[in-house]
Amino acid sequence: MKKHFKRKLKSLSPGGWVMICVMSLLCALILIPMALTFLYSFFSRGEISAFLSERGNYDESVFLTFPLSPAPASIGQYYEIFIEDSSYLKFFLNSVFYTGMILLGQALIVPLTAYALSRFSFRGRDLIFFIILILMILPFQVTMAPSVMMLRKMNLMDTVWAVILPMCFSPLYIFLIRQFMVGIPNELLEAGMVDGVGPVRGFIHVILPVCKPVIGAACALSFADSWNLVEQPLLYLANREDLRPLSVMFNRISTDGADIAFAGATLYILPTLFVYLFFQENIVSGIQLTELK
Amino acid sequence: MKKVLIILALLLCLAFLASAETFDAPKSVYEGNAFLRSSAVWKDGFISFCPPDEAIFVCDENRVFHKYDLVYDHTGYDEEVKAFLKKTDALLMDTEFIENGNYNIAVSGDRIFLVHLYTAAIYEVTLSDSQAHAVFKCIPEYLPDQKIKGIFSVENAWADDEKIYINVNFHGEDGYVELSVLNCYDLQSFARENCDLSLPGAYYAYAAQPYKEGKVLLQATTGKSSDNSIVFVKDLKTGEAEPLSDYLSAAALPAAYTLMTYDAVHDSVIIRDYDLLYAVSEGRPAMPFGRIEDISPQALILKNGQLFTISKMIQVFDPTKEMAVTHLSVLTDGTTPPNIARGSNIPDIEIDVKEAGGTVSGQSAFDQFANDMTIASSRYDIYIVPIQMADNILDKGYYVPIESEKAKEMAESMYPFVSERMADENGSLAILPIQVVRKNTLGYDVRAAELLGLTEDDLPKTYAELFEFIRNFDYDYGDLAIDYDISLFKVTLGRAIGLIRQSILQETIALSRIDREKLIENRDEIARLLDDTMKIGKEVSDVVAPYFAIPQIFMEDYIDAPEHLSEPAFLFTFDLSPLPSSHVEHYPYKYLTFVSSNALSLTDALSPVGIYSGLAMVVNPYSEKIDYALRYIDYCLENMEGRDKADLLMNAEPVPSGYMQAYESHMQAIERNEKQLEYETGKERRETEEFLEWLYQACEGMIPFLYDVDQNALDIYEKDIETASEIWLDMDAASEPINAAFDQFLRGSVDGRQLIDRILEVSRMVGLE
Amino acid sequence: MFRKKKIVYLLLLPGLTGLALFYIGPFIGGIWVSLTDGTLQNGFVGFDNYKRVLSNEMFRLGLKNTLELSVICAPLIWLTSFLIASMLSSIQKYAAGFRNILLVPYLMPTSAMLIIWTLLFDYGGCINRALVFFGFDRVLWLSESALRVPIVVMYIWKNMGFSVVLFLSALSQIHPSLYEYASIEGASWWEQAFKITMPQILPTAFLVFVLAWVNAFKIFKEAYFIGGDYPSPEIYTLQHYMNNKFSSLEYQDVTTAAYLFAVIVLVLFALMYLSKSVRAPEE
Repeated sequence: MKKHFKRKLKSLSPGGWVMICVMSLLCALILIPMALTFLYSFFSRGEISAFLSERGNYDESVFLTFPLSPAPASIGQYYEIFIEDSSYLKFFLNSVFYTGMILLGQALIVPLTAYALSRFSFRGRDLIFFIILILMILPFQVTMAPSVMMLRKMNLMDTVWAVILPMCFSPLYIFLIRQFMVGIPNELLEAGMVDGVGPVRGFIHVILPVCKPVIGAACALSFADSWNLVEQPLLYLANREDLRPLSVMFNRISTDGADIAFAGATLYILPTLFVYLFFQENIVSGIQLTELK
Repeated sequence: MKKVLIILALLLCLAFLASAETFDAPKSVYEGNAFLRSSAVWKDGFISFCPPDEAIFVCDENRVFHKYDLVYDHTGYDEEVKAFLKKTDALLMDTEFIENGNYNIAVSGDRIFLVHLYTAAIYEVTLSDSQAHAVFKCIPEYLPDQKIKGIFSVENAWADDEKIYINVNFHGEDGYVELSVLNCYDLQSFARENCDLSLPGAYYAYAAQPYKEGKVLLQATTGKSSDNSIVFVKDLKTGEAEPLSDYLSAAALPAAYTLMTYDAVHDSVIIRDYDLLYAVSEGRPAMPFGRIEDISPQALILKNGQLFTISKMIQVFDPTKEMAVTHLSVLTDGTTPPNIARGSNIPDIEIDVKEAGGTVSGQSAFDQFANDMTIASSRYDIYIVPIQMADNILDKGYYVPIESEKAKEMAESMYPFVSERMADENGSLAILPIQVVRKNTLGYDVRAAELLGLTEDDLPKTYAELFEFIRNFDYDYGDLAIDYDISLFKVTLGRAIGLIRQSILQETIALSRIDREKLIENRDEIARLLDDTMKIGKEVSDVVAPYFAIPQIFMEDYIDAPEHLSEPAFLFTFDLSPLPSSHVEHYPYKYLTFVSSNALSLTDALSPVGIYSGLAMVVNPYSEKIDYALRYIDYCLENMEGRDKADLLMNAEPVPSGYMQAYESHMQAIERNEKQLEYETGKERRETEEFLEWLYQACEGMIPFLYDVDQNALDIYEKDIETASEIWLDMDAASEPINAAFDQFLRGSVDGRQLIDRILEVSRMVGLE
Repeated sequence: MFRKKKIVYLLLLPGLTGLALFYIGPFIGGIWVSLTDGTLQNGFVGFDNYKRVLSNEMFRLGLKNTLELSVICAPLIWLTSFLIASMLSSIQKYAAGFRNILLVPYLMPTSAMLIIWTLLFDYGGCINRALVFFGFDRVLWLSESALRVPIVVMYIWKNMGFSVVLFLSALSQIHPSLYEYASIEGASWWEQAFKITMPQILPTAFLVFVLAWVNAFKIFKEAYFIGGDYPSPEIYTLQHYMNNKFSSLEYQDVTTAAYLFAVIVLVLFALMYLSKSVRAPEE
């Protein structure tokens, strides 16, 4: 019936090599800001401040020289973050918890809702779709006060659920997966229906496998979003500082604490990088097609 | 209604009872109460050692003191002391310490012991009719095994039935405790047992108290300060130590606290957090039961279970009666609110100050306020916000009116331009201004002006004239300035120009908000002023002259040494006391213009602009403790220092200058010390005489600063203020984008005109929003 | 396509409940807020807020700038990510690696990145250095109208990975035989990209465009950090307006502005939606 068809791994044409070069160059450029952040996190505060104060020099003959190696490599700021303010680990675990729970919740709810909105026709479907669209556009500040009132009534303020639950129903991902599902050709489902598959089983056996790429993508993106949650924890967990995630800790923007900001950013990004490097491949392994016989 | 009143009255009485009783220590031979340095529980009361009086006081259960004069029997002391000194040769000990007459007192059953503060010499005391006979016993071994350099002192001493415990602290050369040891000696043989007081982690002990079952309570801290000190429980036999919060599980303790004593009657540990006393026992949160007024007394639990805190005044507490303490949460941007209720006369209110914009949120206190108002949060009870937000707060009504009598009085006596912003229609205060001051004031020393031959007309009235004056100073007055040793400014010329530049900038900003048209008309002139501030530093710096530097006397260690200030040292100064106090006779400083708003005018065509800035307290209307918050606000209002409100109130009392207060306390000190001279001899007498000399000199130096109010000048000032319309509050709202432009200006990439244009643009945007 | 299957309501139930509770409810609450006057007593003022905000010059300026910036950013990022995704899909083996690298900027905390960007775009920074090298004049990137460029660059840097990932997953759906057929027929890479790929991934393309546009509205943080609360008029976006209003306790204006904005965007979207056939193919 269904054969898994692996796309033949074409050997690269010369055009392919050109693409690789271009992409590599592009990626190198893209990585420069991060590389600099990582580099500067090892500079001592004095060096960084001196460097930062050279900005804004309007002398035409002078260029800003980017120091490429720290005079003495200073790890004092890492020490400060890890040891003096020993909450790093705690916040890190909090972040992991939130991200995990949110992804789990989304996995349960989002595909289901997207499926219902894409492959069925019923009254009000387009209306709901539009509402989801508007919800995506509104900035957080607008619904901030009413959502706090709502959460308060449900007694969820100052609990982890205030952060997790709303994110599980995120309209953005419903929209995203819905769009993808809309593009799935009908033939797939019809073939399934011929075999006597109803809507639910059709969902599990036909639609979901096909959506693997986009679900993988949505996971990656949602991971980034959840890891970077700032406003929600600040607002909903105002009284429970111990429940805050890591993203809040590194939210401040300051140029005199720049060395800590850089060190913090590095510590913040490294875990996500690891996750990306080691787990993404599992979620979206290769590029596979499911095809009809 | 009547029932409510009765209940309230009863509650008030209870509250009164729950607070401490106090009674005085016995009268000393010298003035005042005896200083009971060290005390111990004795029979049904306590026994104390009083060093100045050289006596032992016994307080019985009726709170009557019996005095016993100390008579020492020092036989055997000299040899032991010599041997002791030999051993301590390598340490920083002085004979001075040996001769010091301070002892700790320890009681074992019926026996009384005195332990010398520095040598740990033990004396046993027996009481007869009116004398206490102290017989020397021995100097016990107490030096630690390891070599340590520094002074050591006996921190505490206590005794039980068999042993006497002496807690010795070794202070390093910087004075901080490096090592703390506990020595226990058998009371018969005085054989020593060294008990180690080491603690896990980076903690080290610096004070010990007995606990129960062979354990001790140790006050410990990390680092040099005692800010995060907590208490450990250490078992002397097994050597295990754990924090008190772990030992008494489920007890909720403050983050840092000081140990007072162990309550054996109720099996709880008495601690204090600043001035609030807590009783800590197993399984319950720490229970507050009272406030002490003197934070460093000794604490004893008597046999009847009452807690006595003893120094010159004795307070009695019942450590089982919980004192209801309401915690008010205050959010601030880094300024601690004045007169915080800890250590105040509101026993049942405790203030927790939180700083906004800390490591996490990066928001300022006002942003947090805006946030909390939209979500109706009751998290903080009081906010301390910048004064320029007053308008917004009043418009939107996010405040609790402060309707007390005092508040209404204050609102009425405010200048109109102030009460517009801080009082609401009913005449009650909406926000309480704290620390609101005028910012852009420049004044001059009348005596210096006289010496230099300057009349009122010669002095500059506008900034342009001021710059002229600075440029020509060298030529016109240079020689005289050198002769009389007078500097142009109280700070260096460079810094002064910087401050003037700030002033001009702020006034420009204020003007852009008040009267945009006028600013646009005079744009060029003001731009020239700004550009001038950049030029003038370079121009004048070629003249290397002493009068462009800080006055010589301020270079010395003791700034503002009063004996020096009897002579004028500088011409212009930026820090003057609040307004009304300058309109006084005999006061050496005056403002640089006599135009009412007392600032220099930006140009000839513009009236001077007064810039105010400061902070205000707002009560959160969603708070759940509004009554307590209002009481606290009233307390702050009543105890507000004169200088913090002098700029806001009409007919305010002139603020006594720091010199006047210092003068008074010096006079008192002179009286005290002269009396002491009557019976002192030898070294002490010499010291006192030196001190008195210094005091006389200081007082003389301050005499020019003792003043009376010049009512005429004050009246004129009041009238002018009432009609002045250019006085405005600081516009900080737009200062961030303007600061960037100002930065560029300082670096030279934009000139004055462009800066003003930017200010106008931002101000327009702010106005339009 | 399923019609009239009752089960759809069951499937929809958890999602809709959550949406209603956590999003739609507050949304309606927000509308109520925009109709009140924002004092402690909260009186109802009907459409006064809307009238006032609409006639406010700064609101209009912010609106104009936001729309302009989004019109610049969204198509730009759409195009670049489409091209990159196409390039990547033809080198599958390595695509995943590149894609992950492209996604990393999305993860970075803006705060630390901003300092780096101000260094790069500084008057004496790398970008100007390169310009001078190629013979152009230096540009004052961080002020006045030129500030739009760094902001757009930052936006693309951050969000490109997002769109590339979406495009990639859509592209993976396309049957490879279509391409083989096309290359046999002699179609160039460009033609293949736009004639074959595009129609197949239209829903996703629409999605990416929408998301790009929506994210463009949120460039606030960068502009705020560099320009401050009141930057030069070209950078003053709606978010600035809302933030400043929020800081002066004018919360009603914030919600009013946001809803006005939502209405405008909605109208635009509706037009787009109706004109393009992006709905699920009807039978």
